[in-house]
Amino acid sequence: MSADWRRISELFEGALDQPPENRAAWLAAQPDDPAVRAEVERMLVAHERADGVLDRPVLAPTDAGMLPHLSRALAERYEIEREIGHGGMATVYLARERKHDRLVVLKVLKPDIAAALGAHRFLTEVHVAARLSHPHILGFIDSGEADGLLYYVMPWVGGETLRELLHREGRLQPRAAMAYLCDLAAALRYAHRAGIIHRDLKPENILCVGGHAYLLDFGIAKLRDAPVIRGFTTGTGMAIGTLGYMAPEQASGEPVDHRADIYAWGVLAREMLTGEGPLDIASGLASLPSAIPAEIAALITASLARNPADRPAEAARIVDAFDRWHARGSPIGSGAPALSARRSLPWVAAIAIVAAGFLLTARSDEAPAALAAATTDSAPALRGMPVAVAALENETGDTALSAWGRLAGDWITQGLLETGLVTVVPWPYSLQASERWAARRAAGESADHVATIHEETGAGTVVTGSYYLIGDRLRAQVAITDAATGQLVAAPPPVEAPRDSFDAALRLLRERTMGALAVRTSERLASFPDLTERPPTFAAYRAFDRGISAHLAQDYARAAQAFLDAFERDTTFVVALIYAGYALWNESEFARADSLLATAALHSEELSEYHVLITDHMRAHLAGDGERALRVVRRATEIAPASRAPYHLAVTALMLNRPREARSALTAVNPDRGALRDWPSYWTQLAHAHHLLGDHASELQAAQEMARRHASLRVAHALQVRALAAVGNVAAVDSLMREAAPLPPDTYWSQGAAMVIAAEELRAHGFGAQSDRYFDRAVSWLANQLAREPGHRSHRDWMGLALYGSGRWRDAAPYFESLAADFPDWIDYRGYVALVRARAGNRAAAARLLGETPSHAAGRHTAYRARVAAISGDTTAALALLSQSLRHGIAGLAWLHASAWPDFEPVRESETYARLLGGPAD
Amino acid sequence: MAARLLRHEAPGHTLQPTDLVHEAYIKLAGGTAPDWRNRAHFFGIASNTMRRLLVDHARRRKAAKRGGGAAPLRITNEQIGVDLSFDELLALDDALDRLGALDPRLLQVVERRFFGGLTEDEIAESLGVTSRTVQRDWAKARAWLYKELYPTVPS
Repeated sequence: MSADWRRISELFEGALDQPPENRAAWLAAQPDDPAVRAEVERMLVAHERADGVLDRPVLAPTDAGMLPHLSRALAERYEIEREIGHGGMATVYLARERKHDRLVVLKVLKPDIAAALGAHRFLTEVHVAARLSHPHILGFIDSGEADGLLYYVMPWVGGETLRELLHREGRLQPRAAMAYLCDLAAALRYAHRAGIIHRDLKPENILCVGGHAYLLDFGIAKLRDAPVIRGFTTGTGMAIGTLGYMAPEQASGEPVDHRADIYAWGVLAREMLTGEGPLDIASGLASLPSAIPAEIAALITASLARNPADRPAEAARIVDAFDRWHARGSPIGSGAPALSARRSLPWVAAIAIVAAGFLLTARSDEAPAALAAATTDSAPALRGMPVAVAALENETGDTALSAWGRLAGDWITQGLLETGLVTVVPWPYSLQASERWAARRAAGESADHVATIHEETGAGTVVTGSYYLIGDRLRAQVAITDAATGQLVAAPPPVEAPRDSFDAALRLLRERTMGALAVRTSERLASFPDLTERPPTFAAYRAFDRGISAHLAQDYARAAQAFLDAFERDTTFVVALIYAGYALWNESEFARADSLLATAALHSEELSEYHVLITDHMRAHLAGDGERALRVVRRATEIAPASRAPYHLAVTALMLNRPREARSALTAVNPDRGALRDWPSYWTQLAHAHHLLGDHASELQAAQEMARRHASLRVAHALQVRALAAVGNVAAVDSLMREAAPLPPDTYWSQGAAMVIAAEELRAHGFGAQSDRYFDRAVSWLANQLAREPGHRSHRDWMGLALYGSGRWRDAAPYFESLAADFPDWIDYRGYVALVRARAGNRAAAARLLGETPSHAAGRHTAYRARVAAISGDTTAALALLSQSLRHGIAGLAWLHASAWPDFEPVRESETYARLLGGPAD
Repeated sequence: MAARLLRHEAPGHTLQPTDLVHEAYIKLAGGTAPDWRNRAHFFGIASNTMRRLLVDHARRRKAAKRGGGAAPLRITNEQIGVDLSFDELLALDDALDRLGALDPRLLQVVERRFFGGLTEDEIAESLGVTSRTVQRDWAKARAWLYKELYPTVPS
């Protein structure tokens, strides 16, 4: 706190202690600096303002002080937005669930009721009802006690209650009413079979969204019937309207069964179709519209029987009648469905469309024409934006179940990929984005899951979700959010299953998620044929999940082991095989990688296009077919831009001397987000691309960007050196070398390495004298190091290159020979020994050393053969081999030009050479 | 693990030698619930969270508006319990940052009262000061912020 502020603060307080009229004079009399007094004066003027921002408290108390209390009690999980209704038992709020950043309906029991009922009983009842999972039942997503308040939470789906609809419309069009009644009967059939009776079916408890009805508050009415509560409700008077929906036996306090709900259904049916309220029933039954099929009209009338035995025995009878009617093509007199939501706010309509679209999966024959049109119109704009599915959050409290959430996320992702209808963020990268979110949150940032995934992957639509345990059953739910606006667009009903057999639930969850996504992306998602039927076993997935963690951490040895373990546990889990192949490939285990990938390729008809492409890409490289590898990875980049495919595309393009394509692939992605975040090689490849294009200014910039993000990386330093040496800026190279001296040691890069690079590059660009100086410095620096540590692999390696490059190839020979002996599989060491032999005039020995071309490194190997031919004066063979090696693709091509400079001397002036290596091929 | 040597060698071509050594390890630990040290801490965090949520909301909606969306530019009572334009809120947010630099406790008082909806007594308890101090701090903070937010031409 500054001295000035302390004084300003004192003066302000002093002035406030004066009566308002004396303040100015009092202040003027103080012996302070005029600037200090002027500041206090401005504060005093501001003090008089009464209508500023701060005079409007954010949480204005409503409902007798319950809201602030509630807001505080639930602050960690929910942000209360506003009260949207209240009844005899509960007050209803619209709230935002912080975790999923979605709107929910929060119902809070009145404090006196909560006190009478007790938390235990309330939570028990809610848990029973929470087991219901049906498309037309809006289930509970949470419940609990907070600071004495009992509450439960349901998803917010927008729309309006049937009460509001009836209030506005009077009676409904027969077709719309029939759709609602069918939904309600289906919901009742399901709940009754589960042994749960609603007991309070009324228009207030039914939400109408997009031409469909959702039933709310299952299980809650039973609480009201609890003896302790009866006193309250009768004492304070129950809403008279509710009584009308109550079956006669219920109203008179007799025991009730499921037929009480059927009675209420009948009352609702009659009201929807005739517009006459329940109280008119006593005065005789109004006739139903003639458009209603006779069979259904008869069921409605029967439902209203006083005696339960005279009503339809079960809701299934009603559903069957609707099924028969649907089977006849749903003929009805006239009138279009009342799509109430279309008149609502646009975003409510959007939810409605999604909700209805989701339901189309179940009964696609019911798509109203208007809805279908809306779907088709809105889809194309969204189709190109990737969908990301996050790992579902584990709320079971049991870490043994953590892999479920990732299995579910992966499985849904997999399903989406298989359809090929939408752009999807492949699993490792959406997981990576989720992990980043978790890390940010752990670091105390207020990061939003959806927003983080959006930022990281560019996804336009994000699926998040969570799962928890109810007894021994797992229950899972997802929410679909428009990532750009943060708007929840759909929350399909939850699924559940015993924790030991979650497969069926997982399938259902995927089906519902894809159904809900269908409207946003491609309607064909809703009923895509031939998806992989069976998720991997949990044991296999746990192993796979370990593999993905290791894969993202670039611990490929551990990853390979875990992926193979996953495949052994479930041999239908072909994707695990692909990842195992990838890991082994990165571990240089080419033969094993190839055999796994070949096995995976046998199952390509069961794989998504993305997985087929990455399998093909690796196999093409392993077979030395660079051009095919490039073709395949281009397509992978197209369908999965949020993966590492763009990076692989760049690497492959560079191997084929196509730096323009590499550059555009790299500049199209954001290296500070998503799959390539903290991926230093991005900058290496970008620097290579600029280097091959001769754009050394951009090359330097890329290398500097790398150094800025990864300050301790010696390779960033070496790349800067190369860019500066290419333009002969020796002074800058010198100063960089000094700057880099204190950098930590690296397994490969060193001061000596950078000196060799400077020397090679200076020579290739015509700065011979400076080049010689750097070769000498490199030799003496490396000799010094090797005197202390003679076995150091990378120092030996660079020493060989320094001596060879500066023409002292005889001196270089022992270094490469000993390296080749220590690392017999390393073709570069054998390659350099072969070059030395060729220089000694022994081309045959060189050829023997190079032997057969290993397909996994065909390009590089063939390039050594080209160099040997050039050294031996066989320029025709040299150029032919060079051309061949470029078709295979040469790893490390960007370095080749400078380090092979002396070898290609005899061909450098030829046109063919200029065409092949003299400049970019694209 | 095999070291990646000789720059011509790029096994599997996905990695440069340094990749293995220097990549940031992605933490797989799940998110952890904030550890509320005490009630005051909770209120502090909650108030600050509320502020951030509101400001994020305002920024997002403004961005959506710029993107051509039809988002309303006011946060209304119905939405979050206050009638406040996004611009006012964002200006307040900026001014609060400056106030915090000047006098951190004043910032806490404003956040708790305005965003957290706490009473003076609750704020006093949560900050371990007297209610009188909270009153004085509030008056001071409010005057300072209004001076920043609604500058008047000196007479």
